[in-house]
Amino acid sequence: MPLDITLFGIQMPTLLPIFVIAAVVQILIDRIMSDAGIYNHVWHPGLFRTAIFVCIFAIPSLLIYN
Amino acid sequence: MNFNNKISRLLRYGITFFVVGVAVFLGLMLWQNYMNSSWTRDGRVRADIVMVSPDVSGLVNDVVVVDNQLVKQGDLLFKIDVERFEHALDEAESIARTKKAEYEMKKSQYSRRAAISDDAVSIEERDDARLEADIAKAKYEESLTKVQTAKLNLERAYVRAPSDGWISNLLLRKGDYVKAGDNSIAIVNSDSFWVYGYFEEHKLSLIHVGDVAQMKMLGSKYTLTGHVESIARGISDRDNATGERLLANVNPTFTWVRLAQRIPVRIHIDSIPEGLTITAGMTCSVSIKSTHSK
Repeated sequence: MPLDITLFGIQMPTLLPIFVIAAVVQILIDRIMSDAGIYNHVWHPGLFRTAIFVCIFAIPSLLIYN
Repeated sequence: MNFNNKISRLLRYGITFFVVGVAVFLGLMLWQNYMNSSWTRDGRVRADIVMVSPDVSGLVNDVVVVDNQLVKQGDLLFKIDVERFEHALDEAESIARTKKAEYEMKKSQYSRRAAISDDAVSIEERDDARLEADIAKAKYEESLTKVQTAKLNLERAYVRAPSDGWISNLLLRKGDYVKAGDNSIAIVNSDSFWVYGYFEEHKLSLIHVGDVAQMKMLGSKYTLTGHVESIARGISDRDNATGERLLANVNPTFTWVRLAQRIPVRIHIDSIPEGLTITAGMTCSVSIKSTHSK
């Protein structure tokens, strides 16, 4: 993946759009998981959610720098 | 019931800590990759700039190139008024003719005196005549050199391109007075483009001469490829400006967080994609694929 991405004539690090996309994906996954009742089997839902978001954000970001 | 409850609680802890563990691991890996891989967003395209100066002073008579024109080596750039140099050449040629006549006069004087017997002419007179002929000859040769110089000055009034390249920011106009040695026209050498990547100092150990580099131009889809040509071996110390009477003037630094300095890494461009106009000064992101193991 490229280091930079150009959106609407502005160049920014690719991390930034990945962050936004990860946030959207996180919202969807969060809804699915709460409907499925997964949070009932989790000790600390807040921590769990944050950890899921970090995973969603870090996996595509790792492809940029290598 | 109690046993089931215990298992369910363990499961709750297990799932949470497993996911948190994975997240911490991925986060650390991302940090490591971001901080310690050889890339920079601070790359610049550079080129050799030749500053053309006239070799003679004078009024600019005609500027034959236009801004941003591609010129070949030896192409005429501008003309300096030649009238003065033509007069100088005429003068030098006249002087040369005079010196030539003088030389011939002295030469024939000497050959006459050499031919007459010793009774009619003293040895001293004969020697003087010979030396005078020698002096006249040397003066004649000197005047010939002056003719050559006058011709050279006339020739140098036509200022030509020292290398292939593009005229840049042409400000010279007809009627300007240029002095010998004044920079008048900048030419961007057309086959001298290279990229300077400014890398943080802690990343330098990851970069080796010969490594493949990819340069992405700012705001475009084009990617240049190249390889590391060399690494700068010196940057100035910003904390030690020379003070008065040549004494060191060291800045007292007590910051906890210190920013890495940037070291220029010179990258040779191997291929430029079709359709990309490359201009010295363009910004690009550089990432280097290390071919050496860590």
